[in-house]
Amino acid sequence: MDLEVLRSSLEKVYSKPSYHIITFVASTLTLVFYVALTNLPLITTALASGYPIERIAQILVALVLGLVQSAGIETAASVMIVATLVGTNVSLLVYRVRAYGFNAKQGGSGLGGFALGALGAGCPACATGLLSLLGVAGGLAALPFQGWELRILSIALLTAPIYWLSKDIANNGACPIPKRS
Amino acid sequence: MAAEHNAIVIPHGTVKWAAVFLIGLSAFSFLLGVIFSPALVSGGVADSVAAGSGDSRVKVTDVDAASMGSADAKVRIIEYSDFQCPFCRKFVEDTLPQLEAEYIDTGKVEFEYRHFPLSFHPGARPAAEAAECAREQGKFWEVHDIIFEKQAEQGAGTIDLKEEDIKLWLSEVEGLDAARVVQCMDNDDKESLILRDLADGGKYDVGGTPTFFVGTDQKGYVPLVGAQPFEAFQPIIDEELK
Repeated sequence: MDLEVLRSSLEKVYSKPSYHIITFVASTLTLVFYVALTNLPLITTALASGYPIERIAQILVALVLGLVQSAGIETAASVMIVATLVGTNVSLLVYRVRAYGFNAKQGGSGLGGFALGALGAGCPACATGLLSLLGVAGGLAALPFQGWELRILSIALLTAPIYWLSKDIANNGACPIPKRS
Repeated sequence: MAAEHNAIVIPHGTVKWAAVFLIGLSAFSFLLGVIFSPALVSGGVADSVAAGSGDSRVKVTDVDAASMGSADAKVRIIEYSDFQCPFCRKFVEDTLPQLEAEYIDTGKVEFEYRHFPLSFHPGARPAAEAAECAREQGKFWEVHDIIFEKQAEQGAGTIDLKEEDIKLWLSEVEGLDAARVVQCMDNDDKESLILRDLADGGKYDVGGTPTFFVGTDQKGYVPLVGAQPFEAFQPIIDEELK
């Protein structure tokens, strides 16, 4: 992995304040999505019970702010990392599309990256649901590494597309011509 | 410029198919998560839906269980808990005192404790038996508190909770006939009550501890999972109090 490529692309993207905002908004939405998904029975019941939208927003904010207490510092930190990586992915993808346009072929790595990001963010929550379906009491805690295997997989899945998009941005959206021997 | 970029052919033709595959995989992942999430599974269990409510509220059957606060309170919080679970301890330390001050002691909420000792917490079941045996003497909450306090003194995370330790701690509870509690524990007098709670919890899709149900018998209950802060309980209780 060429860290210089990563650094220069991130510098290029984050020299514009709008991308800080995009990252912040996308990361926050990911966090809200995560707590909503992991508290789906509560959210669906509250919605079905006719709770006012401001009450549901109040519950979601409390669940996000209470992540450290409810999930523990390690899990909360891993969720924050995942959310930040999703935000970074979105910013890089938006930059890539705005700067060089979207081409079905060239956008492949970005699109693939975005899909990986979505999978990465969704997989721990999905796994919790699957484990409970299989009757595994304790959910992620019952896995050999208490769910850390899935969290690390999520982080890896989200880091790879950041690098691919960075390479794309560093090459100005073009594929480099291979050197002739 | 853009036209020039668009003219360049991607060297790896498989990227497009990889992207399609990954999008499909992610969609599949989300679908599985949504389809098999406890919320939707519970929605399919007839017994868990409050009659006539038209929503996914859980109908929790009234049973004989330890409680604090007024029995006439408008709202009830039912907790399914495990005495060896570090998150249940966290709730007792961080959230319960504020709930007591704001809602339970003021007569607005009745708080009920039910047992859900997880299989991988061997100390949870004897602790539950000890608390239930102490309830016969009106000392459930004192034993509840000492079991969590003694574990907190030993550090964070899951503590190796042993039946012998629990029996020793009982002697520290003021006004409790510890010998009677120990005899009750040894005779497994409260086993059926704990098994009843475990079975009931299963019916309500309790998938981990602590799990809370906030609401009323008439309207049904809203599920809340995890050692959530007071701020997560507050809007739900306020809405249920309306």
